[in-house]
Amino acid sequence: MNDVIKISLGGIICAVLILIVKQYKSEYSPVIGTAFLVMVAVLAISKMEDVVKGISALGDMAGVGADVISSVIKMIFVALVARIAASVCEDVGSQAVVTGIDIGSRILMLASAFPIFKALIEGIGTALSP
Amino acid sequence: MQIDVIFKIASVGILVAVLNQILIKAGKDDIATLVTVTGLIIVILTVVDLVKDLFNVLRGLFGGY
Repeated sequence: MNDVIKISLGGIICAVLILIVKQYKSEYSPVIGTAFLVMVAVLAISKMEDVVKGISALGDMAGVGADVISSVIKMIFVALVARIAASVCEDVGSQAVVTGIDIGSRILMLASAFPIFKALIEGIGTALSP
Repeated sequence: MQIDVIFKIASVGILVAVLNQILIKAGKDDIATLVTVTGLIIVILTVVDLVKDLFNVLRGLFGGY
């Protein structure tokens, strides 16, 4: 609970500072936003360690292959990093860079997920064949 | 989570803005530009440090997969 108060109050202070600084030197305001975003990401991701280990353990328990779990976690990682990078670029205003990061990350996620699809279809084919 | 980094960046920004105005009024435009660029470099270096920490944490958490 302490953390959410820290994040919320920090966010409000940061937004007010961005508003003030934007009047005088508008090139500093995206940097403030980036700094805040990166700090919150570090705080939140440090809490995610148990979740990632839990997903891995659940996958082992369910008996799916290790590469499936690896693909899922890789997709989470790609989505997270791409979202952070795209938010920073959106703040600066360069929509082309945002679209580039977005498209690139989605294609990477697709490429990471495709082996699972392939294994699924092959499994269905094997199960259905006489 | 160090909120003072954000205050440092904001204060560098406002300080650079004030110095910029003073230097322009005094007629030294080139020093004003230099001060602006220097401030921006200091601030960006601070943020690059934070981003390095972030990616270290990410790599530590997701590195094995």
